[in-house]
Order: sequence, then structure tokens, then C-alpha cells
Amino acid sequence: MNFQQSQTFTGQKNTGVQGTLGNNLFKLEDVSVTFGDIRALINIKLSIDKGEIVFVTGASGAGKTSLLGLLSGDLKPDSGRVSVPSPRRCFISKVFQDLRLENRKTCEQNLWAAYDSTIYDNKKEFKKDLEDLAGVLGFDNRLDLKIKDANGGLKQKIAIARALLSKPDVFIADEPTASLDTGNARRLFEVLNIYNVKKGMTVIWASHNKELVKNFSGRIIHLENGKLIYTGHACFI
Amino acid sequence: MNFFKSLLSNPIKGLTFIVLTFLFVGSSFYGTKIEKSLLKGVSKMEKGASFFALVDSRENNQRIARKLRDLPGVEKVSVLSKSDVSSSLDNLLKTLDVGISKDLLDLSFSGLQIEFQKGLPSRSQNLIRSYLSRLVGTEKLTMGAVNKESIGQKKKRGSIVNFIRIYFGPILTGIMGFSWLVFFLFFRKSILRDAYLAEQFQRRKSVGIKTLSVGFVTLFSISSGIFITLFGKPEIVQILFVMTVLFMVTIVHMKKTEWE
Repeated sequence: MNFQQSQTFTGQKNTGVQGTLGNNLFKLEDVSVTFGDIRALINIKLSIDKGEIVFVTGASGAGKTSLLGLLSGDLKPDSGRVSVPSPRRCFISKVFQDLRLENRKTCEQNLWAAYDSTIYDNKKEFKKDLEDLAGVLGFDNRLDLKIKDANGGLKQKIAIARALLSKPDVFIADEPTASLDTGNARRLFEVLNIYNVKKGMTVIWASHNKELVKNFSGRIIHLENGKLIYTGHACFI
Repeated sequence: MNFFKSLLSNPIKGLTFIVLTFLFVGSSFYGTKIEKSLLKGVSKMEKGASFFALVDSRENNQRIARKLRDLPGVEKVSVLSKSDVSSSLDNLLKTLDVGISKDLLDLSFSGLQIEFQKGLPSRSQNLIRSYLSRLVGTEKLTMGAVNKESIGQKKKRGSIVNFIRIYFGPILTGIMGFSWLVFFLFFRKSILRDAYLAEQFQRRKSVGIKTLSVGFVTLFSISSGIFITLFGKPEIVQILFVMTVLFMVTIVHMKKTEWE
């Protein structure tokens, strides 16, 4: 996989040219984002390498969702420069806070939204992956349940499984464990860890629960009131 | 395929939408033709002046009718049988309540209704009436006055014709187009969502616009193919109008697929 070709989004104050990222998959330089009078992100400087596991932590309103928006290309900066990999070469799958599942469909039907004939040889192969993942995440006996009848935890697992079944190069999740207990959150992290080690998937995971992510191996980016306070290994926080 | 999958996820609404698409295409293609046939129908409603004649029943009224029909300026001659005339008279006497029994009246005559061609001058009408008098003989014939179409009726018909000429086409197309658009909005959300999910979780781009374009092109091709086979080729302007509407709807709704 070649992540060298990237695209750059620049804010109004700075201009930048498209460049190479080296081993950096994402690079933010003095990036600020404002919504009206609210400054969501202030002069953020950071980079994320290919194959990293990164936890974005901070209280509600710290700027986690805005940062994920910048990284996924959904949000443009007001100032500064954001370099993200080209969508043609690097596929990013997201787990949104509102999950974006279809209530009238079953869990399995929602997962089939990730079936892409360009990455799976056939539907059988996809079905096998789907059943394997459902078994690992512990919802294999509830695949026929409609989303409207599912609890919050199951919905969250379905949204995560859908993103993983799309075989992304980068997995971005906004509070993916909000409705999960510690046991399920740990199991989920183990699954993401396997994808990271075996398939080189970069994981960017936002959570307000600093204590939870301290138990996992990865880098923490801690935000407070839109400012980057700390970036380093989880065990040193 | 995604387009029709979304339509058939709600079969009743889906089929209604397909039917409405056909109606919209049909009304846009053949609005002028429908308008012309309606105007033809309205002009048929226009009648020339007419009069009634009572003829002695011993006369051969079929022969009289045939002779009258051969005259220039006569549109139609209807023969009213003795029983028709008798029952009409009976009803009239009952309504008037004059206490005269039908049996006391001499009812040995049959009736004729003679209708002139539209716009026939009074002079020609009088000539036809004179011919009838000579043919039957005045002692065996009673003629009613000539009934002319009233000015009110003429005005009413004129306003119907004007209304059809000015408003029928746009109103028909407008109603069909509006109903079609309302039903499309039912499916818009589901099509948008499917497209959005495909773009987010599959390596596909511009799924929404492709889905809608393929769906509309398929429906348009099938419906116009059927209509052209059945009713002939419409004017190019009418084809362009439908294509523009479908194109605009595609562009407006599928500029950017978003989760709603």
C-alpha cells in the first residue's frame, strides 16, 4: 500500500502545497477550527503514522469530533494545513457517534452495506468474514434482529463490524465504546489490535474515558478546550 | 438496481411511483393530442337549430325523413314513434293537470325532429320548412318553432374551449409532475441513505447520482418506448421537457449524498 500521495486542505490564513507525508499518514500543522464564536480546535500540530493506534481523549466539547472530522476529510480547517492520504490509495472507514444504521433493517442487512465486490472475491467470502466477526464480537446469534429492537451495545458493535468488514486502511471511531461495558470494550480493542497487527490498519479512536484507554497499548492525543495538551504513549499519561 | 430495490422495498408506493412516471411522461408527450381530441369533443357538443313536426300517422314518416335528410342544410332527422309522442303528451297533460284525458285527444300522429346544420341562415331554414309543408300537406302537419342555441350556451361552450386551449396542457402536466415529485420524495431518503452507505463503506464514488440517473433513464426509456409504439412520436420539445425535469431532479437531490 502506498500512502505517499496525499491531499492537503489549507485554511484561509495559510496556504500550502500538496506534498509527501513520508511515513506520516496524517499531518496537521497549526490547524484551527471555529464554529461561529466557538473555537473547536486551536493551533493543533500533530502527525499520525501508518499502522499506529491512536486514542484521542478529552472531555465532551474538547474538540475530539472536530479532530476526527479533519482527519476523515469531512471538515475543512479555518487556518493551518491538514494533509490526509488520497482516498484513491487509502480507504477510511468511520464509526459515527450517531452510528448511522438503518432501523428497519436487520443487523445482518446493515452489515451487507460494506459488501464491495472489488475487495471480496464473492458474497460467500464476505458472509464468512461477517459470521467470523459476529462470533468474535459476540452477536452471531442476533444477526436477524432488527436494529430498532437492538440495544445500544449491539448497535455499536454492528456499526464497528460494518466499518471493519469494509477492510479499511484507516479505522476512525468516535466514542465506539460509549454503550459497551469494560469487558466488551476490551474485546473490541483486541479485535482492532488483530486488524492492526495482521492487516496494518491504522486505528484512530476517540473516547472521553481516559481511564479505559490507559489499559490499551497505543498513543494518546489528549485535548482540552480545543488545545492539544498531551501526546504520548498511553502508559505514561 | 439499487434504485428499483429501494422502490420495491415498499411495493405499493413503488408501483404507484412507476405508474405516475408513466403518466407524467405520457401527459408531457401527448398533452397537445389529448387537448385536441377534447376540443373536438366540445365542438361536437355544438348543435344547429332544430324544430319538431307532428305528422299524420297515416303518412310514411320514414320516407319523409329520408327526403329531408337528402336536403342540403339538414344535419339530422330523428323519427319519433307514435308511442313516444303519446307518452310525452301524457306526461305533459299530467304535469299541466288540466283534467283532459289523453283519450279525448286525437293522437294519430307521429313526430319528427329536424336538426339544421350549424350556422344555416334563417332563409334556408324557412325553405326546408316550406318543403316539408309541401311534402306532407299543411292539413296533415303541425310544425313547432325553430329552437336556436341560446347565447348563454354559446358563451359557456366558448369559455370551455378557451379554458382547454390555454390551461389544459399545463394543468395536466403540472398535476402529473407534482404527484410524481411527491412520490419521488418518499423514496428519496431511502435512495440517499443506500447511496451514502455505499460511498462510506465501499470503494465507490458518486453512487447517489449514478443510482438516480440509471433509475430515471430506465423508467424514461421504457415508458417513452411503450408510448411511442402505441401513440406515435411526440414532438422533440416534449421529449426534451421530460428529460430536463428528470435531469434537474437528479442534480438537485443528488448533489451530495448525506445521512438524513
